[in-house]
Parts: sequence; C-alpha cells; structure tokens
Amino acid sequence: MSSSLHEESGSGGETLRLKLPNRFDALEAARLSVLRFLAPHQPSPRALYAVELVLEEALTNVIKYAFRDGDSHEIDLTVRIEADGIVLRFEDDGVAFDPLQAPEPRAPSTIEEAVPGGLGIALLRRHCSSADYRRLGGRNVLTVRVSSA
Amino acid sequence: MEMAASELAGNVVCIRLNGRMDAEGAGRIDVPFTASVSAVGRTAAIDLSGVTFIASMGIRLLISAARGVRMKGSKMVLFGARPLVQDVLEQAAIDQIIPLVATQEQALDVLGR
Repeated sequence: MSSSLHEESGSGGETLRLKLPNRFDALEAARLSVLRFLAPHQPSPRALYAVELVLEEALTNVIKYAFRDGDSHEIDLTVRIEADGIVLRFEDDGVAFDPLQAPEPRAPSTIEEAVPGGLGIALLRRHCSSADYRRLGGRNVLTVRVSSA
Repeated sequence: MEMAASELAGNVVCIRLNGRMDAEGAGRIDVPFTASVSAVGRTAAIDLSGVTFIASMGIRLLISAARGVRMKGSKMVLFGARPLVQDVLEQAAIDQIIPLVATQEQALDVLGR
C-alpha cells in the first residue's frame, strides 16, 4: 500500500515537512517519518512520547472535525528541531476549528463521571510546553512545542 | 495491538495487552477486549506491561470496559504500566476510577483473590 505521504527535509536536517491526506490510515506513516527524522537528534523517551501523543491527538482532531465536505484534503505537518524543543505545526484548509477551545474535562471521581470528550486535547496540553492556534488565510494553523528535556 | 486472555486462580481473567494503544490499536481490540472484560461474573486483571503507548482513544477503551464491568457487578484492575504510560493514565485520572497497581500480585489482592 503506498503511503501517499510527501516528505522533504530542510537543510541541516532541522526541518521536516510532510503532506498527509486527511485519512486515519495516514497517521502511522506520518508517525514513522517523524521518528526517523528525530532519531539522529536522540530526544529523550519522554520527549518522543510527547511528540507521538501530540501527533496522535492533533491529527485525529483535524481529521475528525476540520473537514465537512467529505472530500480529500491535505494536512501540512512541519516538524522543526530547536535548541530546547521540538516544534510541530499542523496546517489545513478545513473549516475554522480551534481544538484548544474545547473545555477541559473535570477529573472524574467516579466511572459514571468519566466523560471521553475533550480528553485528547487535555492530554496534548499536558505534554507540550506551549500550544497556539491561529486562523491564517483561510487555514487552521496549530503550533505545538514539546520540550526536549 | 494484540491481546491474550488467560485464566488466573479464582475465576479471574487476565488480559495481557501488547503494543500501541493509539486510535488504531484500540480500535483493533475494542470488541474482543470489551467482551472479555465485561463477561458476567468475571473479574478482570489487565496487564499493561506490554503497552508501549497510550493516548485518548486507548483510555476511552479502558473507561468503556470499566463501565461494562461495573454494570455487570464485576471488578477490573489495571497493572504493570510502564512509567510513561502510567503518567498518562494518572494525567487522565484513570487511577481515580479504575484501580491501577504495579504487579499481578497486587492486582489479585485488589480483586480479593
């Protein structure tokens, strides 16, 4: 099965650009590309886990909520290595959708209270040092920074 | 994502999970996992030591299994999570609603066996 993932690396190996289709079956190829790109920089296991979690939650949200027309769309993912962290930028041309607006679920004290909604973004926030959403030129731009410590 | 079920003493089913509990992994085991865990009259010990990654979809699966267990009047306990997986479970406050312990022995203690 072709991955239909378009990949390019910036000079010096500090930036990875991926274009992936808005399909759940594209997530695994994207994850592996990002891991391959990060490997030479030897991020800590904690930083790698955070990157994988951010990828999973951010991409799942975009694929689920940003596109209403049932068409194929592309998601632009840029991964950049900086001195103290890894910056992941997700860009798409879907409807205006700010995943960071979802209210945080309250920590449940009983199983009946456990509400699945909003958990993905709540976890994303816990695994990044900053997250920013903008709507720019008709595109959603979500920028997340993971500390490399 | 794979799962394997075995019997422990005292009518406890032990479910060992292996792999990534991401959206794809959780989706793959959803039906058999829920069925095994929520079977009437069983208590279930879920071995997470083979789980290398968990995010919101995996957690949703655990929560829905715990609901099923509760409705059937049974008990479920999680054990053996690796440190980074344990962190995520605690961040989602799962340990507040499903017992989460370190070893199979402790899991059996919680289940009263």
